[in-house]
Amino acid sequence: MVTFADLRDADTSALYTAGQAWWRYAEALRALEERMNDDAAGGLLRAGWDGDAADTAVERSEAIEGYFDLRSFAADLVAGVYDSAYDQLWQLKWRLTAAIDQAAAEGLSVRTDGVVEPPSRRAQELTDEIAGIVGEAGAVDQQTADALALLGPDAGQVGTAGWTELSEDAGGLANLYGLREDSVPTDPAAAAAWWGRLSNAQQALYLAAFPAVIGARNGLPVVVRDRANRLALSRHGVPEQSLLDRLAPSLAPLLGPLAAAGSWMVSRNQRRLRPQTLLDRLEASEHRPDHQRLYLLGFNLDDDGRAVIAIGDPDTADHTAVYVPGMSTTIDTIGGDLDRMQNLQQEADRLTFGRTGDVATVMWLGYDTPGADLSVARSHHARAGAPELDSFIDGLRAARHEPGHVTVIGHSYGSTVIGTAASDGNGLAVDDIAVAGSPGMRVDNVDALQIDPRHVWAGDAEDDHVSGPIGWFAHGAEPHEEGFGANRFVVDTEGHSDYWKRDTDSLENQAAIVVGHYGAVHLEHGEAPS
Amino acid sequence: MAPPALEVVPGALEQVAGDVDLLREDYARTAWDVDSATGELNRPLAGWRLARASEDLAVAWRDDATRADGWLDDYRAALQRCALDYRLTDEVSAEALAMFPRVE
Repeated sequence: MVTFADLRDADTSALYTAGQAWWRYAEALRALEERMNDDAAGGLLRAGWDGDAADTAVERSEAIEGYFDLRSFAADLVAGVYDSAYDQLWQLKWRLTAAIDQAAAEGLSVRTDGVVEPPSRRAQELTDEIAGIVGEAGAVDQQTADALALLGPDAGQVGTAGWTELSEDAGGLANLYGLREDSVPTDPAAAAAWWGRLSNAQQALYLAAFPAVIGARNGLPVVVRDRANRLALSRHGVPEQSLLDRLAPSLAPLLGPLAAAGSWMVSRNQRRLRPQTLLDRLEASEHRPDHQRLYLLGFNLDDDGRAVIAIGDPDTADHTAVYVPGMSTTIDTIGGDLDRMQNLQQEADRLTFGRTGDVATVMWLGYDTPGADLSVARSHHARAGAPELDSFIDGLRAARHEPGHVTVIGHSYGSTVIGTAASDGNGLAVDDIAVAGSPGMRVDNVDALQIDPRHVWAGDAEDDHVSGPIGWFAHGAEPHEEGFGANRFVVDTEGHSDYWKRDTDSLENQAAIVVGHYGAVHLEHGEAPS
Repeated sequence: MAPPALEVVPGALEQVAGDVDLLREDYARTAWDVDSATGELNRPLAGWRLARASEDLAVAWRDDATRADGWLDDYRAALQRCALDYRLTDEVSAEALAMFPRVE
């Protein structure tokens, strides 16, 4: 129990020193994690070492890297606990000193047990005040001791067990400090402002205690969301493989007429491996240059799954393109969409002068796409996805310190989502809208998209069968038709899926739109902005 | 079926082993810094629960760091041993091949 003398004689600056030491340690652990990635695993991969031993060595290196990552989260939390204790105790000590000085000024003295004498009504008031301050210090002492007791790493707890332990510890801390996940604002601008007001300690605790909420919240900084989502993903781990899962790949081809059952078993196994597959893809990007790094801005592993992944950092890029994929895209099939956005980013970056990395692209699978069935002709997937897209783009804007150039790009049914979002409410906060292979945007013409028509662009391959009468019947006028009123850019690719193929006019024209080089966009019809 | 790919680079393994060793030294240094700052709280905050909890915390993290130091050292040693094995295998193979008479 803290006594009057304990608080009076306490050197609270030692808590500040400890907090600073732990912040530095957390940073050092992150630097060590990067070195394990760059120098160890990266060094081995770059050298071309290949074979079973190489695979094992890289896997072991990544496990140690994961250990440093895990401990850096925990070190952040320890630092936050010391910071919080310091913040509270120096103020209490200051109030205690003021009370002692006040007693002296009034000709009273304070005994070593905190009682003010000689006895009088005023002396009792000061005694009560001092007792209250000491009581508050005692509560802080207990809270800090309880918090620190949670943060000692358990022997050998690494990997999924370690992440689970961290999750439980952070949850315990959040309880101790009264943090609640429903206090995170849902409005993107409010979320950005709220995050900016938090202390480092509070940010670290919110991130570790509620990673799924922080990772998904539009308006928070990209690096924060990425870190939170990776933490949330690490906690998922890979569930134990059941006998059925193990047999699925072998049984599927044997099931013949029962192919649906076979494919169900395979997809069940695929879902089981989703967290690890996604983490592997993200971690592989860490061996690439910084501007090609992947940032995980949202995910959901249920049903078909969702994922929002940026290539490059949209918070710092001058130009950002948000790509909305079309029907039948699931979390298990996003590889091709990410490749498209990588092609677009590289082509757009090539068109800009100055630093490498001034273009970021985002693969936004933030909605439940329709399957290759009748649902693709209906609007409910678009109507459900539109507000999500709107909020995501508002979040991109809110998280930035300076306005950037934002283009939203829709492929196939993705353009229907964009049309629905742009024509609703006050529209989308983007500078340009581009669509390719659109079956219609659920509007009659460009005016309904609430943006200067010269900033709406559509491309369509001659043999793209998704656009055409079927699309028109389902989703209205097609944006590449002259009567729609948008610019039609030249497409030299074939079919429905090659609009982002390298070394094509289709890709180059979209890249020029993304970086605002409107004069460089080759048009079939329309008028580019000057 | 094609045999699994095999490419050996003993020089790179030795280089990475050296990097891991440097990393291990840096880790030990930073772990020591934080250990000191945490353990020293007992003096300025004698009698406080948080000071005792800090001591326990320092011990737990010290043990953890010792374990990780062991992993890093084992990893370094494994890479060096692997590089050495590759070189020895190459030498032995060269000697075996040299047993055959030169065709002239």
